[in-house]
Amino acid sequence: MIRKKICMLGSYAVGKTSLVQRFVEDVFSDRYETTIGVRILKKQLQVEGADVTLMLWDLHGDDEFQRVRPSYLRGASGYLLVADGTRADTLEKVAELHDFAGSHLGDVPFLLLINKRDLEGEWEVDGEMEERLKRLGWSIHHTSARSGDGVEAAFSELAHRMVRG
Amino acid sequence: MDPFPESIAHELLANLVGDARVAYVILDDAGLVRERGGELAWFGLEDVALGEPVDERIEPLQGSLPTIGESDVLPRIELVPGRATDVHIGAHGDGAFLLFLDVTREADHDRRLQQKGNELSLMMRTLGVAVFEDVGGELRRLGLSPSWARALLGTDPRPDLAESFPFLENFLIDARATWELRGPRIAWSGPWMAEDGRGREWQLEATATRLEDGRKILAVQSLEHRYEERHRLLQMARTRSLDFDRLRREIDKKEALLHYIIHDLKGPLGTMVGSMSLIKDRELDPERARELLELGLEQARHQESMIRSILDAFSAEIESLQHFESEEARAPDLLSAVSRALDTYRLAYEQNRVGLELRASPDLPQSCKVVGEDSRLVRVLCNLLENALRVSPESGVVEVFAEPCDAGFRITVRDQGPGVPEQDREGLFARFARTGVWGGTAGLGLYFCRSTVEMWGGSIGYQPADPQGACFWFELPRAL
Repeated sequence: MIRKKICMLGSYAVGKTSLVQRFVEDVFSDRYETTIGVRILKKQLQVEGADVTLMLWDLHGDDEFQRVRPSYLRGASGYLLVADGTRADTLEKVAELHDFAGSHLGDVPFLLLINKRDLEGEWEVDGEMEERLKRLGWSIHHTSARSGDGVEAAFSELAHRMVRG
Repeated sequence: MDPFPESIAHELLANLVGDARVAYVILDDAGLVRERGGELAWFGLEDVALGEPVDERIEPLQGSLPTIGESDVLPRIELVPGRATDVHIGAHGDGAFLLFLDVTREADHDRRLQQKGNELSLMMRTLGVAVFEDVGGELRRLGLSPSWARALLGTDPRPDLAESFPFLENFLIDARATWELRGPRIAWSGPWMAEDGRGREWQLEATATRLEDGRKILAVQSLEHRYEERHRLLQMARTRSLDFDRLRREIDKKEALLHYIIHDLKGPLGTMVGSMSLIKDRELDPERARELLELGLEQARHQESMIRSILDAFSAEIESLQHFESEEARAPDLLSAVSRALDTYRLAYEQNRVGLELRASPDLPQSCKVVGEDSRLVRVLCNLLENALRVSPESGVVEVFAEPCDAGFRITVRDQGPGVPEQDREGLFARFARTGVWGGTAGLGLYFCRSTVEMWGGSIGYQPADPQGACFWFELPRAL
C-alpha cells in the first residue's frame, strides 16, 4: 500500500475543510467552522493500478492569527492550494503559500483549486488572473465543495501526478 | 578484590551506615549462628542464639539458607512492624553473613515521594495530560491515563503513538531533535484533532522536553475548554473579517449600481423633458402633440418600471423576514396569481403586438396552492413577463406554461426573442448583475425573483428555448 501525504493550503474560509469532507465523506455543511491546527483524514484510491492511501492534512487557514508551520509540510508528496473565487485576495495568499511550500518541499506536484464554483456569479477572480497563473505552468481547477463539482477530479489528478512522480 | 584493612573497613562502614541502626549475624556452613553483634534487639532478633538457625525468623530467607552463594539484598522488609530493614547477605568463609540495616527513614522518604508521584499523576489526569517517556526509542506511558487517552489509545502501556496519530509521527521528529538537544529545549506540536471510535473529536497538543536527569518526556494534552475559547475567538474574528469584506464589496457594488441607476433614470427623463418642452414652446398640430405625449408617457412608464425593480430588489431582503404562507388554507393560488399577472400585462403586450398565451397542463388540480405570499408571487411573474415582452419581436408570442412537478408546481415563461447569450448566463440571477436586458431595467429583476422564490423553498432557472428564445422557469413547493 502506497501512502501519500497531501497538504491543503490557503487562506481562511476558502473551503479547505469542506473540500476534504466532500472528497472523503461526500458531505457538505453550509456552516462555516474555522479550523484550528490540523485535522488528518484518509482516503483510499486506486491510482495507476496501485492501492494508494491519501493522507489529507487539512491545515488551518493562514493569516495573522495562525501561521502554517513548516513542519506540517514535512513528508508531503503534493499540495492543493485553495482560493475562494468570490474573494480575489485569497488568490494572492495562495501565491504566497506556494512560495512557502516550494521552499520547504521543493518541486512536488500541486494544483490550484478555485473553490465556490456554485457562486460563480459573485466571483471576483477573473480569467485574466487565471491566465497569468496558467502561463506560470499552474494547473487550475474550478471546484464546488457544496455541489461536489470538480472535487473528485482535482484530488484524483493530484494523486496521479504524485504516483507518477 | 583484596579485603580492606580493618581500620579502613570500619571507617567505610561508619560513613555508609551513619547513625542508622545496624546488626549482624555470621552463619556457619550449616546455616547456624556462629557470631552475632550490633543492635539485634532493634530488629527483633535479640533472642537469636548461637548455634541455632536464623532463617526461620526471617520469612523471605526460609529454605534459602545455607545454600545461598552470592551476595544479595532483601530490601525494605519489616522484621518489626513499622521498621524497614535492608538485609544484606553475603558469603563469609564457609558460611555467610547477614547484615541488618535500618532504612525506616529512607522508606518513609520513598513513600512520600511515591505519594507525591501519585498525586502528580492524578493531577495530570485531571488536567487531561498523558505523559510518555521515550526509552530506547519506545514511548512508554507514565502515570494515570486521562479519558481521551483511554478513548484513543486504550490501556496499552506502550501504545504505538505514531500509528494512532499520523500527526504525532511527524512531530516526533521535532521531539527527538529536542531530546537529543539538537533543537529547542521544549518543542510544541501545535493543536491537532483526533476522532475516537465513538465519533467524538478531541483537540490535542503535544509538548516534548528533556528533563534535567536526561529523561525524554512527551506530554500530550487535551485542550478542551482552552480550545473552545480559542475557537470561539478565532471564529468571531474571522467571521467579522468576512463580514467586513462582504460589506466592502457590497458598498463598491452599490456605488457602481448607483452610478448606473442615475445614468438609466436620466435617459427617460431627458426624453420626457424634451417632449414637454416641445409641446409647451411650439404650436404643434394635435397629432404631433399626441405623439410627443405618448413618447413622454412611455418614458415615464419605463422610469416607473425601473424604480419598481429597484424597490423590489432592495425590499426583498427585508421582506424575507416577513411572513409567508405555507399552510394550504392561507397560501396563494398559483393559477390565480398567473391570471392576475397576465391581466396586468395584457394591454402592454397588445400595444407591442406580442401575443400572450397561458398553457395550463390538464394534470393541474383545481387548486394550486403554493408556499409563498400572494402579492410578491404576482411581482415575480410580472418580472418574467416584462422581461419576455422587452425581448420579444413584433408578432412574437410569449407562452406561460403551468404544470405539476415533483417539487410542487412549475411555471415556465417562454419567449421568441434572441435568448440569453452564453456569456451572460452565469450570474444571470445574481445581485447587481449587469447582464443586458435580462437583469431587469436596473439589473435587479431576476435577483428579486431568485431571492423571493428561494426564500419560499423553491428554485428558479433558465434554459434556452428550441429553436430560439428564452425559457425562464421557477418551481414552488405545494402548500400543505
